Amino acid sequence: MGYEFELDGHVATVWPVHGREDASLSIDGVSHAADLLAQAAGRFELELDGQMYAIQMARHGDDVFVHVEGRVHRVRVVDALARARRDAAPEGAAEILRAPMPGVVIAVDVLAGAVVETGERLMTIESMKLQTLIRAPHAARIAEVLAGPGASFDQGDPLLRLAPVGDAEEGSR
Amino acid sequence: MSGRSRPAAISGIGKVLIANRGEIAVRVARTLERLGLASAALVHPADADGPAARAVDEVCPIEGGTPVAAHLDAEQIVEIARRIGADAIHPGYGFLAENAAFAERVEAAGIRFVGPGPEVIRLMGDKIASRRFVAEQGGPLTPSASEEDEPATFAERARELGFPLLVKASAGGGGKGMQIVREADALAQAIELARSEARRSFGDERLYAERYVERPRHVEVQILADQHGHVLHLGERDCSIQRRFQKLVEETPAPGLAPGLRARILDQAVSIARAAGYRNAGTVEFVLAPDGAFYFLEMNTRLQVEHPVTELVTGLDLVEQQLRIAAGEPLAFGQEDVRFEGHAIECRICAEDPEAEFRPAIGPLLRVQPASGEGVRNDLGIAEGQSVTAAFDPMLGKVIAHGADRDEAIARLRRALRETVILGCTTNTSWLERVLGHPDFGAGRVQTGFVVEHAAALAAPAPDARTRAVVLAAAALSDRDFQERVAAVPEPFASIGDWRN
Repeated sequence: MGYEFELDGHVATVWPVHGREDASLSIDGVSHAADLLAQAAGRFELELDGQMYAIQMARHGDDVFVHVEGRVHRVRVVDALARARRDAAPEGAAEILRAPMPGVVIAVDVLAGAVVETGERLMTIESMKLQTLIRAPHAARIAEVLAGPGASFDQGDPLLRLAPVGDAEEGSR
Repeated sequence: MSGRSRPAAISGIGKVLIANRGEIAVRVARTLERLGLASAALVHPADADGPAARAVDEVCPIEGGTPVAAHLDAEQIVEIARRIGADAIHPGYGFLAENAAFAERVEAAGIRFVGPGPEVIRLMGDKIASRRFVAEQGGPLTPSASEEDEPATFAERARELGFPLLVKASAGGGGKGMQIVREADALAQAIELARSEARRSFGDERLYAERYVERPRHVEVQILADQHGHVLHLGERDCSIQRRFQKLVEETPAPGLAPGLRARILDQAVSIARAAGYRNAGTVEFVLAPDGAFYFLEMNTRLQVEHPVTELVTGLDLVEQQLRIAAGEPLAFGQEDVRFEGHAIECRICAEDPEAEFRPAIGPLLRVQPASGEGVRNDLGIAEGQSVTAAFDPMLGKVIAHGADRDEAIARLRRALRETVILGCTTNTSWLERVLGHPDFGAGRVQTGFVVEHAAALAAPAPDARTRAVVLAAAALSDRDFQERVAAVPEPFASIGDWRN
């Protein structure tokens, strides 16, 4: 399995190349001679196919931020295991409610284990000075509250995990 | 900025509380330190990692349900100022900077408010009252006609304003019932349409017409006035590059302004400030039409976000001037002593994604490296290790460049924007660099519709194949799993190259 990295909406596969003088990795099938030298903290020099690039780089979780030639690029390391798990998730299993935009949690109206009806209010969030309610998209059981009052989140971050109503994992009462 | 010799003491002010946060708190603290004054700042727990807490002598924790609520809590702030023995409160901009009741409260506690008197704050803070005041002074207002004054002659008076014209509901707002009329023949029908929309939306069919300024520029004048009746201007600024009515790029002098027109704008601003009995640094804002007509927009009775461009070309420290004025000192120089050297441009760095309709962005600040270089000034309110959250304004700070002329200032600022490294949270730095690199900006063809008009040209180009390779190689080679895989492959398989499990 090669390593997958997402950049600008496209996933690229990067392979290590061994035993060749002129190449150390291949990106989507194209071989490159690449050497990364760490300078001071956060500063690197990359030699790619004989050319030098000054780079500043930092990683947070699966996000790698690369500053080169005046621009920051965000690369997401695609975790093969997580991807496999996601692809294998069966229908009707846990479902994640995600933040529609960045903001802060103002109030959480449900506890884990609660059974909620369609349209029931689950959480109040504030984004861009506007308060919005997160409501249940359908009848469900709250499997987990993933963001508490005061927590800030980015767009797409998980807020709540829902499970089917009948699904009583670890004894919901 | 001046400051080689030790500046004179300010009588009556030994300690100043900064009632703000972020870049402006750091900016004010810098002047307090240079003047040898004791500094204190309000710091909400959410901001404890920010640079303001490190820039002052004394940190004053504030409480509140949200950081914004805490910074708006006048009672708590005055109490803190009293407790720590502050002689003056500098409000920065935003929060309570233009709150007349707060200014009154501060003065009632025997503390100097670094700003104008409460009555002037109140007058200029009221859109209708300030327009009426400027009209009474004979100042320039957008020509307008109101149906209420004399319904029978409304159409005739509207026609006399000239075209294009905006016809809207007197009770209106939100653009409802608004009609743009470009020629006299279309006026009658526009009035009829606007009236029916006004009736439907507001239950009030009275109309209002005003001259519509197409492709306007935003030009404003920096004022400095003391309590002894001296009113000076420190030149104008063009702030036409905006998105959703928020300024993003500001510069001085305004490009391409004819000397006569510039003089008239500066004179008007000084007269308005003088008539209002203004004291403090302040800004009179105008809308400038392509034909050279200009109209009063509003007056801001505080330090402006974009004040650094004025400081760079005049060599004055506006915060020092504000403090001296608040202490009752007369201005130490006259209009003819103010010198304007070169050109300065500021860009506002915001935590936002220009590629997604400027949506605010949040994230950890993994790395913050300000730019350096000749003529470059950084007014940043962020520190590495801090997190940008949705609790505050997305503006993280400003990068400002000064050059002998506009081209040099542009070149220096573009370079500074490329060298400003903020990792972990999306910002608009490379978008700003593209704004400065746009041929229309270079030619001084700026107007408030610039960002919308040039949206396509300003969009980030997709990284080319070489850039992709550089970025992906750097990411892969710094990834521990990838490094281990490289090291762990046994030789026979390794030699094959594209091996698979």
